[in-house]
Amino acid sequence: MPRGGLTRGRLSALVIPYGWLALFFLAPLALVLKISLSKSIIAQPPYEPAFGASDGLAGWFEKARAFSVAAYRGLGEDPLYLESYLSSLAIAGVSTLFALLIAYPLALAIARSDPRRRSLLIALAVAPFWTSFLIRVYAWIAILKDEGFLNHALMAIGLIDAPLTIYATNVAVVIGIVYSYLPFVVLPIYNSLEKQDAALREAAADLGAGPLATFWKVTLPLSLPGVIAGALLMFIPAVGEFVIPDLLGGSDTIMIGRTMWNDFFENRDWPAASAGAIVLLILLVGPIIWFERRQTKGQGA
Amino acid sequence: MSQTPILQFERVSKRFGATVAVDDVSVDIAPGEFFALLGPSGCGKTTLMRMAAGFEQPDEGRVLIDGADATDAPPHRRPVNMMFQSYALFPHMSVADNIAFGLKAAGFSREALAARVSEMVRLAQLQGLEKRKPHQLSGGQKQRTALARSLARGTKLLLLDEPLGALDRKLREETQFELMDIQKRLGAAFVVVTHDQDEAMSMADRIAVMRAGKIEQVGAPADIYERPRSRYVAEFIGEINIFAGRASRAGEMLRIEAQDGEIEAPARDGVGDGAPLACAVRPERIRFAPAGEEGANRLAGVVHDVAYRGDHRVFRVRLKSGALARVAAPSALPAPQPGEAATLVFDTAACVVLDA
Repeated sequence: MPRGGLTRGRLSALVIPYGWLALFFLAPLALVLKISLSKSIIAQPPYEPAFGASDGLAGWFEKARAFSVAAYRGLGEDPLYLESYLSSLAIAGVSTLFALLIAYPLALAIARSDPRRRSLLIALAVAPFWTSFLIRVYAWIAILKDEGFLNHALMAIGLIDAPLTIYATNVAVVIGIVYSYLPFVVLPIYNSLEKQDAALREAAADLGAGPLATFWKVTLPLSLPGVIAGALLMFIPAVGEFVIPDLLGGSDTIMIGRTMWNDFFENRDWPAASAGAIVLLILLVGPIIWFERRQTKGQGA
Repeated sequence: MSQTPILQFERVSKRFGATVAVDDVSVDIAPGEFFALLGPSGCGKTTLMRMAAGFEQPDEGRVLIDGADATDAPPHRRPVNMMFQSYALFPHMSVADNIAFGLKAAGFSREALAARVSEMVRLAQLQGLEKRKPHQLSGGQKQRTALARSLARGTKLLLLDEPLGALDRKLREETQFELMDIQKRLGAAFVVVTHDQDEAMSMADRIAVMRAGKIEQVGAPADIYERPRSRYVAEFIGEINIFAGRASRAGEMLRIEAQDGEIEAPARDGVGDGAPLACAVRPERIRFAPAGEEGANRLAGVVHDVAYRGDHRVFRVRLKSGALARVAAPSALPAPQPGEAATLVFDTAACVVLDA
């Protein structure tokens, strides 16, 4: 920023996004952090210390002294949380992997298609967003259940004799997550592929590299930022996914979103659930920071 | 030419939709030749070069490389390399890796590859920059990296698409000489696409002047400059004065009745009386006639303005018809001032007869 200082226009341009972040991201986060440091009690709200506007600043400090890390210690002692984290990371990881395998060829095909058709193809790739997310996940129940479309079709063509049990398993959860998040992976990959200068591929061919070698040595490495962006864009929300495992998973499907939901609404242990959320946030911020570092280094700026 | 041409276009045509980019072009390029495809943008010169590299398929005709039909060969199977106008350096690779790219594809051993890369680094004067990424290079360094990469495989035919187009003026001139020097040392044929006539004139052994998908004239730079075969070529290469009019035979000469006066031009076969012809004269072939001198090819006018160019001056002289004629005269000679009347004179031999 030039030295001219903050003009009024520049100031308001800064205040709006930062104000938004402070109001809708930092404030709720502070609330969750506060609750995670509180103690669970049977009351309304079900934790203490509870701060009131009448306490004044001094009163707040006084009450904050009662903060404890008991909820965090509880997470460590509760194997359910550890299992939930691991299972969530595994399900989100496997889903992201499959999504990448589907999204990359899709994005490549769109990026190499006739420029006049590209926006239409991209619109089609995000077309599912026009229908309610919940309805689309429900539709997967109809497809995957024992007497669902998939089993009917497979049995009709004689590929299987008995219905496959997919619904209410982790497989169904993975299918649901891959399906739901696919557009988020396609778009950044498409974006990085579409930006690539076609002359680079021509240069590779000119230097004796066949189509496959050109893909591995030029196209793929140059699209990695898009691949990583797409993977993070999917992986991070998928770890905390609640609706899909709830609808498509079985009773043995454990994901952190559901575990926290149970603590909030069934056990009314708000501090435990809040501590769970804070730990999840820390787990996920790591990869984001790594990606940011990589991006800035790649640009050599 | 007794040698097999390194590159031959045989009646090659290429259309994009309704546009004819290249129209029935045939031309041979000899081994070791420095050949320039010259023309304004959209004349088909780049398309022609891309057909040699294999990035475009001709609709008709054949492309032969070193005597072998390469018309249907994909780019990675052609013994040709190209230097791209945008350089197309791989942004994720260092200078050394860019240069090594084609060598790896050719299956060079580790030692041979390292030796070849350092040889190319020296040739292109890139010492010390081997580990830099393209975005850390200056324009000239990028240009030399692209050149080194395209030469690394030891090709006998290098295609260069506007190789100096992205360089600033001073660097461009230096690089012209560098390119010529490298080409002579390696003995490879260079085919350069350019829209810059000075570039083509100073570097090339032969120039093909293109217009609307066709080659108008192929020849050595001096040939094209001194003996253009059409008004298009005459006007595209350098400055030229055109005096057009009806022609009649006058013994060994042609007489052209131009608006600005009567012109005596060298005879040309197959010219009927009254045919419309033009006499084209380069500015440096025109002199100011001393007062009172008599003879042929004298045009009266008034000096309009003078531009000083160091070793010479360029005069624009308003003739009878209102047209401005250009005269280039050494600065050392006495010169008329703007506003003064002057008589222009040129030798009959200085006049190139063209179709009007």
